Amino acid sequence: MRQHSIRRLMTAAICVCAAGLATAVALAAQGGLSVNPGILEHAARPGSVGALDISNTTSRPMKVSLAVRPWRQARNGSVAPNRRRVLGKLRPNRKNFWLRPGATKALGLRLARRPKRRSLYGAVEVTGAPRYKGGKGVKVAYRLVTSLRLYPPKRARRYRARPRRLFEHGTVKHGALFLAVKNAGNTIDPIGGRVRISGHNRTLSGIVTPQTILPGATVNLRLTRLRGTLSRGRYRVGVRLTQAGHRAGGMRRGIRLR
Amino acid sequence: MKPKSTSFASQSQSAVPVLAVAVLVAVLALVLARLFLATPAPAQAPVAGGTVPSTVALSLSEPSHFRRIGRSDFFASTIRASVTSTDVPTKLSVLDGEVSGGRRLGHMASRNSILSPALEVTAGQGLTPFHSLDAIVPAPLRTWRRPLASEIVRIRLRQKAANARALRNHGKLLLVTFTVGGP
Repeated sequence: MRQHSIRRLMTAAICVCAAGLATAVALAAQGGLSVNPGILEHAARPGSVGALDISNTTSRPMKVSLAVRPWRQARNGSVAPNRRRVLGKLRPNRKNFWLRPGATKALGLRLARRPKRRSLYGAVEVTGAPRYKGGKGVKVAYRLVTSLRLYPPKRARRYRARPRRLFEHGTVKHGALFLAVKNAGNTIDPIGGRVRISGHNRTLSGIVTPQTILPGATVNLRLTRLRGTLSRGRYRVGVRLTQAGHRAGGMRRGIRLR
Repeated sequence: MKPKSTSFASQSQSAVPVLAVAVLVAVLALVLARLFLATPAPAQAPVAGGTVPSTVALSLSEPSHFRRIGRSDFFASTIRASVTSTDVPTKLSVLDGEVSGGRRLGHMASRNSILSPALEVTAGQGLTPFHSLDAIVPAPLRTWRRPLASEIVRIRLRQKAANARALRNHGKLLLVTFTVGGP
């Protein structure tokens, strides 16, 4: 009886030990990859534009690769790094390297020549793949995408917004009026403004919600929602676009609302 | 009755030190394991107040083993992600880390066979919809518009398969992506 209870106690103790070890292993495995700073800002001058600190806080060596890519912006304003291209003007000290567990590496970035627009905005893609001992199943790797902003000098900043197509989405009862706007300047200050719709003895005016548009990209800005306040017919639409408090552009055009 | 009570007393008296020793051994094992296996602590002590340096961090656990969901043909696995970011907005997505297009995109594969349909992924609890990993443009699983400090996200994976053996013979490298800020 006594031996039996001792055996049970020993089993319990072994279980507690195993649980403790498993918890400790889980805690140790819960490291990761970190990048510092999250947004790298600098003036767009040839030469060094700053450094990134990349840390491996896992308990395994990690193969790290770094790429500076241009952003790709959709017409609805969403952005993602363009995985097919790299910004050749920006050269990191090293592109691929192994990072030991708990190690941190500072990587310098150099701008080879002055960008055409005098500014450059890109995504820094840091990928970390821990070393696995083979075998099948699902494995995970890390990918951190941070932002790089190289601003133009104050005197070279240009605020220009080119209105393109004016169109109605939906109907006058349930719809919206959009204006495709191209950022022809060299800053990423959000572009907003005022809109005035007149016709049929009615005038509707409102504020256009500012939206960030990449230099050279075109985004559909929603001028106003249509909720049945206007009847069908021809209207004149006047838009005044502003960027960082500067007048960036404008247009006056007619449109037939359905 | 008397001998019975005596034996019980002696048994409990001998069991107490054994239990104490067992607990002591467990605690010692935990401390030793923590010392040897834990990642090195950052050199800087935390500072109360002041400016926060811009940082981004992503931690991932090992994916759990695939387990059958009820009596269905689906198997599920979980990855625990911990995200930290001082900048906004941020989004978390998962994409195929092996190929960026073609027949194998999003599918668990071995040297000469591919599991069909593609692996599916979602984040969070409950009835959040699963996204297929064979999409060329991956859908963001979670988006935040506030700074994050060790925010825990449960990434759930789902794969349809005839049996668990098929899953053991196929593999996939997933790229868990944490995107910070916009342009």
